[in-house]
Amino acid sequence: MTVDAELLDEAIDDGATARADLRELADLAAEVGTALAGWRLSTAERAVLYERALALSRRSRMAVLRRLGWKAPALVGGGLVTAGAVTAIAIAVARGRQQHSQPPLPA
Amino acid sequence: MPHRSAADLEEERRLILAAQRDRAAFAPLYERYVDQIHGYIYTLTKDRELADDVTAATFAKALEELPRFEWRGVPYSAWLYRVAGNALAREKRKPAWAELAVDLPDGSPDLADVAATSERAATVRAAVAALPDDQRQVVLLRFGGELRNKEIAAIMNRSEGAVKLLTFRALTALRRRLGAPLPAERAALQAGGK
Repeated sequence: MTVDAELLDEAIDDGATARADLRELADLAAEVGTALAGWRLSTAERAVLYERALALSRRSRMAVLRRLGWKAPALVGGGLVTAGAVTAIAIAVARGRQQHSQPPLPA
Repeated sequence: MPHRSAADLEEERRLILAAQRDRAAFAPLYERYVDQIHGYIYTLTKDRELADDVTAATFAKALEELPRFEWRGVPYSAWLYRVAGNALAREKRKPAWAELAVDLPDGSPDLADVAATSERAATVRAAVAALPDDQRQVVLLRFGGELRNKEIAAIMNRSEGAVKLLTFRALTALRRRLGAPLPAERAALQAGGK
């Protein structure tokens, strides 16, 4: 069956097969393609679905923005606190180093 | 069966780039594929309302992902079919591809089908809809979406060989379902009748 499947695959793509049974299946494949391609929405239906897609997309973006908006103050506040703490530690360390590295007072 | 030519793919690449620059330019891509995606979902589900919902959700997702979409020389529809399959699976609350519950048609096309196309085309579509899940997927993607075996294999997470085998089985089943016996079967019948 695998060999037949390979041969059919070639027959579908280039129409070349000597076997009548595969030729029929390839013809049927073309008919199926035509039948499936015949599926058409009306202009109005297309427009309605497009509007729905746009609305869903907008809603999704708004949801993302809302989530970000809700998180933003916390993120900014947390960032400020962290930056303040880091600065304070850096100043303390720098002062400590200054005190330890002062040369002895002249006699 | 036709596949996308290099010129087609290049045009598609330009459409995607244009849409990435300006979302309003997404409309030509939508127009190009909305019928395929809708027909795909409808054939899978036989549920018009669900097909509408999933189609809208698919293109909404396409719009959202547009800035991040990377062109890889594969038809945009390959990506859309994957999104549609996932959206349908979400709607059905079931895993993608494997367990799509489908109301099998009784063989007679519904009114929407008849109004839309010829009775024969509707009969063919009904026969496609009645195929087992994996065979139906292959038929819809290959003959409805005009995708290559490699692209279908990627969407379905199967090997190319498996896709070819499913195509063979599906077409054999369709041939039987649509009434005309295969020549080999015809020969067997004739031999049996003698």
